[in-house]
Amino acid sequence: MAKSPKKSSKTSAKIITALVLLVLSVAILWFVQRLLIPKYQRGVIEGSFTEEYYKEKVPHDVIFFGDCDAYESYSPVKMYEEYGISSYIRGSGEQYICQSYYLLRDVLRTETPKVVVLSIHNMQHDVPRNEAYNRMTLDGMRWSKDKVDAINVSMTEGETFASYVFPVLRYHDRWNQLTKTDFEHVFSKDIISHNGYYMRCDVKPMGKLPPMMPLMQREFGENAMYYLDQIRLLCEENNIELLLVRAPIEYGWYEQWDINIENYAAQHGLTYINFCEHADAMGLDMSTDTYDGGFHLNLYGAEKLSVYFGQYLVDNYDLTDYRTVPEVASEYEKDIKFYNDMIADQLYEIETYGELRSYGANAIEN
Amino acid sequence: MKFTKAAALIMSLSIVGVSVAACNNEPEPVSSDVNVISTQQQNSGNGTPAGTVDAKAESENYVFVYKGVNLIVNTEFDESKFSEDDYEIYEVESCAGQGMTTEYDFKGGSVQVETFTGSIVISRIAVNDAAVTTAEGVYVGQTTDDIKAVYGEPSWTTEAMYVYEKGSSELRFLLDGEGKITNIMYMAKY
Repeated sequence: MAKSPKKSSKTSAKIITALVLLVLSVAILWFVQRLLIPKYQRGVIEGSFTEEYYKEKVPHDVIFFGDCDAYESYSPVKMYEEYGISSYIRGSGEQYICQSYYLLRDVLRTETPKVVVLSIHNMQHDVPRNEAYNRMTLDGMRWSKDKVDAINVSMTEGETFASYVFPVLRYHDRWNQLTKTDFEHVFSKDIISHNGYYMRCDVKPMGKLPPMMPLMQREFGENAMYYLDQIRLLCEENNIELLLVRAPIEYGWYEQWDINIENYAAQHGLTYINFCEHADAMGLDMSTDTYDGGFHLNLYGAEKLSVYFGQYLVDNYDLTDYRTVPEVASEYEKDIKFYNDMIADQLYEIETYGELRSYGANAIEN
Repeated sequence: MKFTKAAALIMSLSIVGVSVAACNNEPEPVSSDVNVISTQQQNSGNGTPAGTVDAKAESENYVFVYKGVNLIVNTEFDESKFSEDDYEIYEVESCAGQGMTTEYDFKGGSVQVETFTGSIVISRIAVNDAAVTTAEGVYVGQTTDDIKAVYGEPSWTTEAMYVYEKGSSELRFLLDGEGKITNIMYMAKY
């Protein structure tokens, strides 16, 4: 027996209502998730770095990977201004070497740089050890098999894969800690790095550094070595030059580890540059070139290193001078303006308040 | 009517789901732009949360006694038990604003005490010269035979280290090429 037209239209209405309600439910959940996840737009901004890369519109000849030694020590904008090098730092807070590998794979989905610069500071951690840093590196990564693999090798005890797929599962209890920044950036986030570089213009001279704890592990861990090998092989497969570097920061590293890296580089025909040995040549002065007493470089230190390293790069690799490529140069002009505006803003705050107010981990919420 | 109710239920459930999730008893919340995940949530990998006091630490772990004070990893370091002249204090900011690690360097560098990041809970103690011994009397410069005579067979070894595990702590003897102790470390287990 055929359904009456009235009954059929009633069924259709029910289906449409159900679909609308379902879509609405999903939209509400999505909105709540967007609202609750950390925005990394003020204070600890390092969690924004991974995703900012996807907004890039220009090719990069040089791409850096690593932890704070990478993203606080090299200024891609300065290297462009001085040499026309187009570069990007895919760095993040305590980025583990396994994550550097998957971020490199992620890069290769869209571009093939001529040089990969790996900051070897992260070789000291054999396996990921901290969820906060995992989140800062992985949450912003674009979904792909590489992100899935990166999560699987990174999760520490207590972390779940589901919480990376649905971050609301992890961040749901932030509801009573939401700030103005969370509401302002529900749907979009501002770019806050300079091609992955974290800018700090304040100065805190290097004092007496803490004595290092005794070195317990002379060799790097097996897992860390495995991923260093993987990075090397991936670069070889893609005809990319791999360059190993260490920023000119004395604290937090052991001489034995330098020997390990030197041996590895010699064994595989790689170059390792320990910039601590070049500090005088680049004119580094840790009474003015650090913002936290010698643990990280500030803008002045990073620019000195960038000028020095940029010269090395153009002398040793066949890099394009992108200042002569109009469509790239026009993008970099915007980057330079943003860079200079932030310098001016930071210097204004330092002059007005004697310290940075809107920048740094303890930035004040408006 | 029934159908509309069911549909409304889907929506309500999603909202209730979020609300319930928001009210449960998970560890410290994740703040927007300061500490992304609380120290309590950071895990050292063996089930002992980094920076969390181990209530049974004193009875079940290696205890290092210095100037008459018991120092145990996974317990809070009490500065007041020492004179300010006893040590130099250093604070090292962690990467990406995750808090300070504090290091107490006792006179002459004989002993170093380090806390977990963003916490006053002891993560490591290093004994660097023969001026100080373990509570059981072993000191820098002795041999692996001396260690074994006091502590027995180690839990595990490498060429450069003898390691003894007890509770949530490890006692590590770092060795030179001749099997002599160069440093002694008390560590929270990783």
